[in-house]
Amino acid sequence: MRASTGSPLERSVDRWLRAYPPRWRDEHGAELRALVLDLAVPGARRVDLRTAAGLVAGGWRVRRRTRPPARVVLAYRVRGRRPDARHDAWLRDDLAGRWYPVRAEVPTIVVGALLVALLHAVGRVTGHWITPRNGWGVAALLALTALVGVVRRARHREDDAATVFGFPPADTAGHFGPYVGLDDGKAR
Amino acid sequence: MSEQAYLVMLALADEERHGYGVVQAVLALTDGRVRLGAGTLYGVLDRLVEAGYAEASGEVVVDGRARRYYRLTGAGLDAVQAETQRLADLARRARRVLHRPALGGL
Repeated sequence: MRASTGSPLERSVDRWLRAYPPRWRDEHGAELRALVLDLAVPGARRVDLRTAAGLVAGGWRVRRRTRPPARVVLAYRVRGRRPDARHDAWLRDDLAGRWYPVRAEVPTIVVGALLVALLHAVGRVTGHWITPRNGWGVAALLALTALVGVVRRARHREDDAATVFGFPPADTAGHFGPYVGLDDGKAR
Repeated sequence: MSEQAYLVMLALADEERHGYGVVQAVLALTDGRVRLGAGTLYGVLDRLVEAGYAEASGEVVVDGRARRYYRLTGAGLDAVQAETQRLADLARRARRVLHRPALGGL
């Protein structure tokens, strides 16, 4: 699909097309974009409400239809179990998505929050505080831990992709170029 | 089969068409009653392709805009003919019911 350039209407269409997942846009985005432009009222500067609602609904249906079952997503997020090859397109979109670091850290954040809540409750009952007594202190601790996790995940996104799709990633040379043996056929 | 899917299949029954062509054909088939939106049309086309009732038949670029053509498969043609027959039978029965005098009628 083309980058978002051109008239205000074209930019508006491109924004609404983001309702569809990249895996679908790669295949059909250009033709759907052309159709929306063809159907637009002459002189329109933005996508009308009915068309926008149709695109959002259509994009949501495509996302729902082309994502793995919930149990597969859960096993992937919680246990790191790789979905099978049928879901590779979804997996690529997931790893490339803007919110991937947050999505990937959600299970850790939830487990951490439960643990901290438990420790806080124990502190309340027994008087032996491991966590800060103040509720805001606990919330700040959780937020900081979550933030560190998300930032760390964002920095290791490429490693996660390499783990899922093999290392080095297919058809890329990696940071340092392809491996060349020490003798490279010259040593005798 | 939904009415929208049936209309899209009818639009593709006589010739291959691109998205805009399908919208225009459906408008003509329904005397302007059904104007498919872009999102709706591609939802229907996705389902038809997935079911094996339609397939992409080529792509051209006109005035910088991509147009992919779609056509019905053999299975799609069979399905739209069967649906047409079902609707015709239903319409025949409906006419019989409507022309029957109501019990106790005047």
